[in-house]
Amino acid sequence: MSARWPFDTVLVANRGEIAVRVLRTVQRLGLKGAVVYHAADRGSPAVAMADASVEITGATPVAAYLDIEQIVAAARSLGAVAIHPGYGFLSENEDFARAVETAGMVFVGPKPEQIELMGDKVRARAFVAKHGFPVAPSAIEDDDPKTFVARARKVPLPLLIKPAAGGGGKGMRIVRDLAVLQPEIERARSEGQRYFGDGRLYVERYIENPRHIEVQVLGDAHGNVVHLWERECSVQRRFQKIVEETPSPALTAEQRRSICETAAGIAREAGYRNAGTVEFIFGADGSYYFLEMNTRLQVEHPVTEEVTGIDLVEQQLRVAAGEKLAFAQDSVRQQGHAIEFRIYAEDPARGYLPTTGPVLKLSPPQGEGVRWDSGVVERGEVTAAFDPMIAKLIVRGADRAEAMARADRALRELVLLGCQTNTGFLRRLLNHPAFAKAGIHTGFLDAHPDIAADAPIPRDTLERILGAAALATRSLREGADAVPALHAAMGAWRN
Amino acid sequence: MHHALRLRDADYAIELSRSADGYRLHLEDRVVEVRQDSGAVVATRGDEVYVHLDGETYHLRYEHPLERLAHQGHGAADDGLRAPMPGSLVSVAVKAGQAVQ
Repeated sequence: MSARWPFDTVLVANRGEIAVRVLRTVQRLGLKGAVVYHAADRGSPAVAMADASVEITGATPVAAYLDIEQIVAAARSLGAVAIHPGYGFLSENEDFARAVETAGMVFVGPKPEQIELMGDKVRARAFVAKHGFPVAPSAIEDDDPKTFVARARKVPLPLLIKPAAGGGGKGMRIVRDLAVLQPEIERARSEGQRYFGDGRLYVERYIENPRHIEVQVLGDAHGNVVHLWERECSVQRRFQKIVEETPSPALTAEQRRSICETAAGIAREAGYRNAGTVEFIFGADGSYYFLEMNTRLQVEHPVTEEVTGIDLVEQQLRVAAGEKLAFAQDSVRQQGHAIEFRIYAEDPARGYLPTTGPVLKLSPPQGEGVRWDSGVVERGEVTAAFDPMIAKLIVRGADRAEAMARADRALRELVLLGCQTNTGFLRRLLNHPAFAKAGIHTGFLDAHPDIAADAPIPRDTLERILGAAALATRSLREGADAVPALHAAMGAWRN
Repeated sequence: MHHALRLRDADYAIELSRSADGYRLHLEDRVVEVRQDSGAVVATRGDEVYVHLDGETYHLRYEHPLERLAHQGHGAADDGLRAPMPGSLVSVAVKAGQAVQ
C-alpha cells in the first residue's frame, strides 16, 4: 500500500473509453489499475492498458458488467481495495455501492443513500423543492395516485409526462392537448414499466425550446462542496446528448453565478460526496428548474477538465481516500472554451440507427487543443453488444470561435473506416449558422432534419470517390493492369 | 462487362483503365484521370470499400458483374461472358435471373 493512499489498486468496473480514461489517471497517480472485462472486450484498449484484468461472464456482455457479485469477487481476487464504476452500468446502483462497502472496499462514488435519493426522480425533486431550490410546476402520482390525473390537468400546458424511475429520456411524453392526456399517461406508464420495471409517473410543465444546462459539483466526506461551473448540453437527439460545451454561450455572468450556486447548494444540502452533476432546464426567459442529479462521473466531464485544469477522476479518488478538497470555490476558474463531440457508431440519415463493423483504419485527430478519449483501436470491432458511443473528441480554444475552428479541423482529420460514424453529421451541425450563433435548444435537431440527412455529393467529388474506390478494388485494378495503356487508349472500338 | 460500385443506394457502372502514367475512371460517358495523390484514405474488406475524402467518409460496395447480371434478370447491353478460345455455345443450363454459384 502506498504511503499516501489507503488503496494501491483501483478496479475499474467498466469498459470502453471511460475505462481507459479512469485507468490513465489511476496510473498517473502511481496506483495500479485493474479492469474486469467480458470476452467481447478481450482485445480492447482498456484491457491492454490495465495492470491486471479478470474476465467476467454473463448471459449477455452487458449482463456481465452488471453482475455485482462477480465484480466484487474479481476485485477481491485482484487485491483491489477501491472500485471506480465509471458511468452507466453500476455507477448509480446503490446496491453495488453497498456491496463494495460491505466487502470492506472503497466505492469511488457517493454514499449509497445519496445514490438512492437522487436516483428516485420524484424524491430528488421533492428534496430540492423542500430546500427552496427551483423545480417546475408539477403533479406527482405518488402524492395521491387517485387524484393524479386531476392534478396533472391543472399543471400549465404543455406538459411533460415522466417515469418516476426514469432517465435518458425513456418513457417521456409531451402533451399539448388535455384530450390526449389519459392515453399518453397509459403509454408512459407501460414504457416506464418496460424500461425501469416501475410504472409510477409524474407530470411537469414542459418548457418549450429549453436549453439543457448542468453544473459539475464536487463534494468531500468533510462537508465541503464546490462547483466547477456549467456545461451546456442542448444539442440532443432522442433526449440524448451529442455535443457539450463550457462555458454555456447562453448565460449572462449573473445567470451563470446563480445556476452554479444553486447546484452547489443542492449538493451541500445532500451532504454530497464525490463528483456529481446537477442538471437544469433553462427557459428562453432565463428561468431554470432542477431536472435531476447524476451521482457519478459524467460522459461530458472532459470539457470541465479542459477549462478548469482539474482532473475530475483524480478528485474522485482523493475524496474516496478521505482527503479534504484541496481548493476553495474562488480558485476554480473557467479559462477558454471547450466543446465535446460524441462519436457514435450510427447513421444519422437513417434515424440515428446504430451501426456495427470492423475498425479497419483509425487515425485520431491531433494538434493543439485536441483531446481524443476513445475505447476503440484499429483492428478492433464495433459490435451491437454495447452503447454505440465509441469515442469523444474534445477541443479547447481561447474562445468559442477558436474551439469551433479546431473542432472542424479535427473532425475533418478524423479517419475511422469500416464502421459508419456520425462525424459528417457533427461537422454539418458545427457549421450550421444556428450553432455558430449559439441558437440551440434541445429540440434543435428535430427542427432541422437537414443536418441529419446525407449531404449531396458534388459531381467532381463523386468522381474522386469512385476513382479512389476503384483503385482499391482488386478486380477493377487487375482488369485495368491486364490491358496495356495503348490498347486501353484505343477504347472499345477495337472489338 | 461493366463493373459497378454502389454508394448510397445508387449503382455507378464504371471501368478502370491504364493511362500513360496512371489510371482512368470511365463513368457513364465521361473519362477522368484518377489522381493517386487525391488525399483519399481507403480501406477494404471483401467487397466493402470505405473512402475518407475531404473530411467525409463514404461506404461503397463493389458489385460483381455476374451478380448484377443475375439480380437484374437482364444485364446492361454490353454485359456478357467471353470464352477464352473460339467455339460454339451448344447448351445453356440456366435461365436469365437464375443465381449461379
